[in-house]
Amino acid sequence: MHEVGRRVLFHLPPVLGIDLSITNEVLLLWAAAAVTFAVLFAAAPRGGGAVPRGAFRNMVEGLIEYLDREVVKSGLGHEAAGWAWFVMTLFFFILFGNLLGMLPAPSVIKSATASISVTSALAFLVLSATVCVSVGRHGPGGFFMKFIPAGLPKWVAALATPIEVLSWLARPLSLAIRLFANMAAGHALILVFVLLASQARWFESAFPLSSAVLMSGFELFVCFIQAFIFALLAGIYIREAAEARG
Amino acid sequence: MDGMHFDAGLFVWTLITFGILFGLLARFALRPIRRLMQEREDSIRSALDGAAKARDEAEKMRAESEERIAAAREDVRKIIEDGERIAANMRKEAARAAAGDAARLVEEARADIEKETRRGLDELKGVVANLSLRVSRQILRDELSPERHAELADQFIERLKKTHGN
Repeated sequence: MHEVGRRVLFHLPPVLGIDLSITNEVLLLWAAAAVTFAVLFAAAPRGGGAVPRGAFRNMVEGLIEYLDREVVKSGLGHEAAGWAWFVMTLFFFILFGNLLGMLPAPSVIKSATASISVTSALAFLVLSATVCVSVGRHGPGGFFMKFIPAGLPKWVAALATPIEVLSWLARPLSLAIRLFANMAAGHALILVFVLLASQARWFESAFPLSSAVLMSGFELFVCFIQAFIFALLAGIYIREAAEARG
Repeated sequence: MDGMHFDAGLFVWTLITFGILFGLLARFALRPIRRLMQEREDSIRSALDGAAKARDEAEKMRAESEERIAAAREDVRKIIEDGERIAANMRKEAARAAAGDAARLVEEARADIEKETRRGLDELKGVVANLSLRVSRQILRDELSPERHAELADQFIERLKKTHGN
């Protein structure tokens, strides 16, 4: 039993020097996207009135309502409410990407988000969204002016500006690393316990097995929390980009 | 750990996949769900507003009904009082009229009695005069003995009784 490694499944020619071959990790990504779309599409109304039918639709609607209240309204706020779909898509994509790693096939499937490439792409999207919002609201000048703190002497402002830029760049970086580290570490820990249990004799395997089970339960919670934190912070960053200037 | 190595291809595929997923979800899932939830919220709010309005109207109608009932009760009370007053007046009028009729009847009866008495006395006077005339004529024709005189007197009294008794 070993961790899922990168395997090229279908070779594609490089584009601008980037290898776009289809790998098992790309498939995991697509699987997460497909599950996300399937679940939400199944919960979408197709006639039949406004009353939700069944526990599944109630659960999905409850989750969306929760996100609407906790992430969209309190995170994005009124000014950036138009980005609600973006933030919700982030949440559900990350959630199902995280949950893929909970399937009991660690040698075949891992979390789509347990890769720095995926989480950094998602963080890059958030960064791009904040740039779009900031430039859209305040213009390019306003966007660059936010890195120069107001009311400081020039030499202090000159020192502070690189710090502001670094601070701004650190946000998506922290988003990417936080999500990747949580998912990779949690699943790695479970994998270690499972490996221990598989190597030990039957009476010695009780501790690692029970630890793996406990960690799995905790990981389910972490999957949800990490998706929520990512979406909430993305919403807050976008709102700040819409509001703040300088 | 492969996840720690940056894979530019996976980075690009993530951007593409997310873009497609975002478009699909916004078009086919999130927007319809959110719209339905908004419609439901509006519907519930509208129903609650309607219920509140209906309750207010019902309360208003109840107040109006109570006012009308109170007014109707007042009218009925007035009608009953008027009726009682009219009935009392009618009773007084009837009693007064009855008393007047009785007095008039008594007066008429008394007048009739007096008239009849007077007429009887007049008749009696005629009879007495007539009898006196006849007694005088008898006395003149017959020689009256004391017995005969007593007999005549008795006859006269008997006739007088008969005449007066009739």
